[in-house]
Amino acid sequence: MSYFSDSITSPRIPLNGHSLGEEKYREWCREPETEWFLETIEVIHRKTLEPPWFMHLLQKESTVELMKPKIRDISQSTDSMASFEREKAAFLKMENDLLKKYKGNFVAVLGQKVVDSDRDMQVLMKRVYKKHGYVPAYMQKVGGRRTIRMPSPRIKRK
Amino acid sequence: MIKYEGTKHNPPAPVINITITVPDSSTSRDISGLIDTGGDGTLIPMSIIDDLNLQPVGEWDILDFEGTYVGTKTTYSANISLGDINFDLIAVAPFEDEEAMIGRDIINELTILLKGKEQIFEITDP
Repeated sequence: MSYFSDSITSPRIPLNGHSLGEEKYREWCREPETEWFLETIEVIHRKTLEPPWFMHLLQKESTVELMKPKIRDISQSTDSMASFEREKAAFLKMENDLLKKYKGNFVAVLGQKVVDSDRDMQVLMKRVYKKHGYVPAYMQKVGGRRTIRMPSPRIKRK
Repeated sequence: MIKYEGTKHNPPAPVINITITVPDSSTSRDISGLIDTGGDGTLIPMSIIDDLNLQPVGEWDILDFEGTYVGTKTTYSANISLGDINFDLIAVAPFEDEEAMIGRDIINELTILLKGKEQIFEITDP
């Protein structure tokens, strides 16, 4: 954890100023979800050369407590999206080869390989989640993504 | 019979309370959903997807009312209930609104009687 350095000369928030107390604060910083969040802050800091506007709020225990569940949610959803993107990349890499065997069928890609297929997406989802749990698998029709028409415009009345 | 919603919609529209539930869980959120017979699929607010931490499952290419491609959306899997009628594992796309749009992937499984003149409607599971 580099963002919250011990150095008081650093522009970063010093550990010893935190209302949580140094020990509890170090503990919080070491939680995986917090680590992800703080790394993200560090990226913002490096890009903008300014500490994010909310930095001073992080020095309060009450803010940390309030943020914990939200950070956990964001972290989990980011993990899901990263896994999903990996499965999608694997699908795109394999797509030409999959055409021979699965054209017109839906396949489920998990762990960067095809784990199941079916003509019916719902049936496929049911089987995949039953076997692997509710995980971010990439399920797609081989040979053409589904096109959805959403033709209901909303009229904004004056 | 359910009354048309006329405060957010002008002209009034058939809107029903729906429950979005995380598959394999009892975690859920209640929102309203517009019956959208023009929509091929169902859309739900991105805030609900974030709240429930729904898992991404696939992608749709979206066309607007002119048939113009407007983008590719990641879809998410969810269980959806309209009253006591349940639909397990529906792929839904996110959008920025407070109300869901219930498309024909769900509507075509139901009997819906729209009494536009009286501004009431009824949904039954045939």
